[in-house]
Amino acid sequence: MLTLALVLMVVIPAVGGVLAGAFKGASSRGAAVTAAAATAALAAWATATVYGGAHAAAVGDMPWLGGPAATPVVGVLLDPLGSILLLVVTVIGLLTVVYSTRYLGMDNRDHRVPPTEHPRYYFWLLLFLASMVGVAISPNFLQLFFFWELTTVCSWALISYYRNEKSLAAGFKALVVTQVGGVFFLVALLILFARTGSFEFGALALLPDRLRLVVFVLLLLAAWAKAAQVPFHTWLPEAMEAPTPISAYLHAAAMVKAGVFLMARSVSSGWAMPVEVGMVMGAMAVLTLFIALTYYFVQDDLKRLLAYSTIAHLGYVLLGISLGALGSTVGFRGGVLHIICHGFAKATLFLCVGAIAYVTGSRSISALGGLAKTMPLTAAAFFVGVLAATGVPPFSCFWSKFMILSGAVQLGGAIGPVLLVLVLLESLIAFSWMVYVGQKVFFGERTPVACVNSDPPPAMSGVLVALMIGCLLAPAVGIPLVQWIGR
Amino acid sequence: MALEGFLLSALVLTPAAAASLLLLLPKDAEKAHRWIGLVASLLTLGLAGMVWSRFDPSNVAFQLVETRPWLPTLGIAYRLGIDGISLLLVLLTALLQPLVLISSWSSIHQRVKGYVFAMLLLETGMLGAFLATDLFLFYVFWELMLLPMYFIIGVWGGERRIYAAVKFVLFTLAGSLLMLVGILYLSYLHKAQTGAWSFAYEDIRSLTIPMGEGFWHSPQLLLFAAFALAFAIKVPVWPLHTWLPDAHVEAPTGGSVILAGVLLKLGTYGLLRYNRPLFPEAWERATPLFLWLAVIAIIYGALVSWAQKDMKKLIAYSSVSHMGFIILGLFAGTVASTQGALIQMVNHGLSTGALFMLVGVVYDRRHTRLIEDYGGLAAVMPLYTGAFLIATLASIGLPGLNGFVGEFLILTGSFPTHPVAVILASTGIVLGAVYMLTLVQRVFWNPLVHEENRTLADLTWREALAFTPLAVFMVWIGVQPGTFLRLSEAAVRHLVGGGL
Repeated sequence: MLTLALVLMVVIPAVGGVLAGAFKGASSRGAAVTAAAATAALAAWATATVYGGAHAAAVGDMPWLGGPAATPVVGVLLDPLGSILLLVVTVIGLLTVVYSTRYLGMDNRDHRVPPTEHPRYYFWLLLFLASMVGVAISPNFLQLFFFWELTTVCSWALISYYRNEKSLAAGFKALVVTQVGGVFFLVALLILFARTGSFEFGALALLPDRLRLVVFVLLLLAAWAKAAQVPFHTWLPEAMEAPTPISAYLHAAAMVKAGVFLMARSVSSGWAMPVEVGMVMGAMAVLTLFIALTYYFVQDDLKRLLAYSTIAHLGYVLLGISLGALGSTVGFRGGVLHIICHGFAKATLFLCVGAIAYVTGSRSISALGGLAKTMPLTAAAFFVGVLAATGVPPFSCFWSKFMILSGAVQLGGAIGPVLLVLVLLESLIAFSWMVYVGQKVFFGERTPVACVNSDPPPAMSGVLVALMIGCLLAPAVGIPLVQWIGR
Repeated sequence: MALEGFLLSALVLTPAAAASLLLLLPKDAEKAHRWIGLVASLLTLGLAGMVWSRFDPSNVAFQLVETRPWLPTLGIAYRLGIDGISLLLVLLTALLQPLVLISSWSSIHQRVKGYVFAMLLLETGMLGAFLATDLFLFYVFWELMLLPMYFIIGVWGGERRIYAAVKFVLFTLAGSLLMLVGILYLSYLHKAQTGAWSFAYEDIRSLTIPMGEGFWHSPQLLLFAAFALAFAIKVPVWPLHTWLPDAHVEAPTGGSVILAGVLLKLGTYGLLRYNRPLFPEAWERATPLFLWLAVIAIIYGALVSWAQKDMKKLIAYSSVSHMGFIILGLFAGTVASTQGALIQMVNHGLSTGALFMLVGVVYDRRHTRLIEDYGGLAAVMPLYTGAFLIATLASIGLPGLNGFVGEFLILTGSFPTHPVAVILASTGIVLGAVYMLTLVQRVFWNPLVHEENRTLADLTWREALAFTPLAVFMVWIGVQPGTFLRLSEAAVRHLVGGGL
């Protein structure tokens, strides 16, 4: 029953995407929303059912890929780690689809999209949802790779959606960088399979030391490319050419999370990551935090600002995971928790920017001002998003950052205090800048572009309200889940 | 006599019989010509389906064997048989032929009779070459393919068709004549060792061919080289590929589809069927050379593809790259890599065949193949865009479609023995995505700048009909590759001999 539900979570959005692509107008939107809602409902049910345990089952095998050790199996796996990603992907996916039903249209002042272009959008969006669910419930590296590659192509198509010169170039760049990451992943898999005859997550621990180091480095490179970490980070800001709901979903909440999820999987399956790789991962995560931070101050486009913030927050996730690799389970749990906490916080921020652009036609920090009077709901959501993302208690990212730092302190030695100072510094600067930007955009004098408007239509406003609640509830759902992750 | 006794002959000879029927009809009965061609090729497809249903995948010997004496004193006989290695390629050939005839329904208007005649004769040649189990008979079918293809390029081709056709023939002949010498020498060896002439594949396979000292004194190395050259030109292995872009660009759509879909596969099929089992020591000796040529082909083909302005040329060079993967899989030589190479032959036939067919669709409407003459087609021809995208994604190996299965099997199978080559080859995956998706962007997504493109008609039902079976198989192999890999597994395991 559970197995069937998990399989359906991949099949329903995939079929829904094909239908939404084939239909026109309202039936296309209807198919998309229905499929996304069904998937989210199944995900919630499945998470509740396996709560505290794990469910693994084989669906089929691949005798044609017979290795010396075991035949690779097609199957499903739902454990606490997978549940976290599954919830992020399906819930925010549903909200994104609902939001898009209004965002996409002729009323959008930022980008008018004629109705003939809509079905294509829903097709790729739902195909992406299906592939992300696949990533979350993959029981082995082979299947994970399979869906990982699918997300790359969906991302390419969706970034290029507007088909103007900039978006085509951005989509192309994202494709190349993430595809290079995919090849690192592939080579890691080949080594793993050649050596152990298995694609199981646990097989990593069976590798001899030297080779394990190589495989982990390759996996880390793949994760960096997918999650837009230094030195692969440049594709993400450019990917902001995508429609804003896509930026919110693919490039903040979901697809980039596949990269960090890969690391979380690799580390937690056997806890066999070599310490050197863990150190490099942690150090690069901190470096990424600050490199991304320095870009904040020169951005005028709200979306690009959020993109750099996303890069930094993915750094946080990797930081937590690296602490796990170095021996702190609490730090690891914090990193995983950050996946869901940041997912909701950043989706809120992006969709606020989408709402602003929808009604004003502008995303420029310098051109906007005094929006709070006409768009109170959006303003509220934006500030909730800021509080949640920068980690002000009791909002979502506070809890995950807190756990990450506890993990660092737990490790003892200099790591704890040093990280404590660095993280607080980053959070403080980010918070100040975000608040500054927020007050510039929402308060102060009303600028000409900001004069005519009101909050976005109900479908979009409703999503913002739901996300605000998510910013508060995410840790309440996430913390109990991550408690089950352990050695 | 039971049906089994002449099923393969019926399969091979049905197209030829229909071709001779065409000769009886007047020249201007074009509709009748087309229908006879289509019906004959559908009949052949049906026969191929019957072969499939009667095929026992666990049996590694040739099945449905037919032997009829031909020139007994020379040991030449009409011998046909099918095994796991040829079955998939026979099915591919039989599938592509009717689709090609359907798709050229509206694109070939001159000398229809000759065109259908050549196509049918070509099909007999291809099927015969896959099914022959007598080296002499194989050679006959091999040469039988040459002339129809020469005419298809030379008569129905583009502007530089004569140059391209002659180049194609010269390259192919140069290789195949050496192979003929090799075949004759093998038969002579058989006489020397057993006292009787024989060209039968099984007899030749049981020979021990001396290795000797040095290249020029080693019968096995020389024979290997003679066969390998013929096949390598056909594949084509870099640097013997230069005939391919010319032939593809000048050939009519149907010719390109068959050329890329089936003819190239005869090269890789030949290497697997003849070179590997007949000359095992030489094969081992040549492995490093071919692996490196494969890696060069993969990267070189991809880079050159990327730089092309002509859609057909781009796809032609992408074939060089993709065939490099197949060569890599064949020479890496494990069960998985060989299986991957075999299924990838089918995959390449499906996806590249589809791509050539689809390029033909817009060529028929606009009479240009230059990428810059298009742009923005997605809005004008949505159905066509979808079809092209599916074929593209299959070709670059998107998971869930056929190309992924082949590439992945080749890479996993080859990695344990040749990790460096595989790592270099895997860059071809990135490049493949880059040049194919750039093509999609430029043709379909870029702004519509040429007014004449605004009124292009979407796929006609006939064009859609020709594409649909290909898409079905792309998904089928992508999702359920076991159905097809099962057919060849025992045969490949037998050929490669145990191990992974």
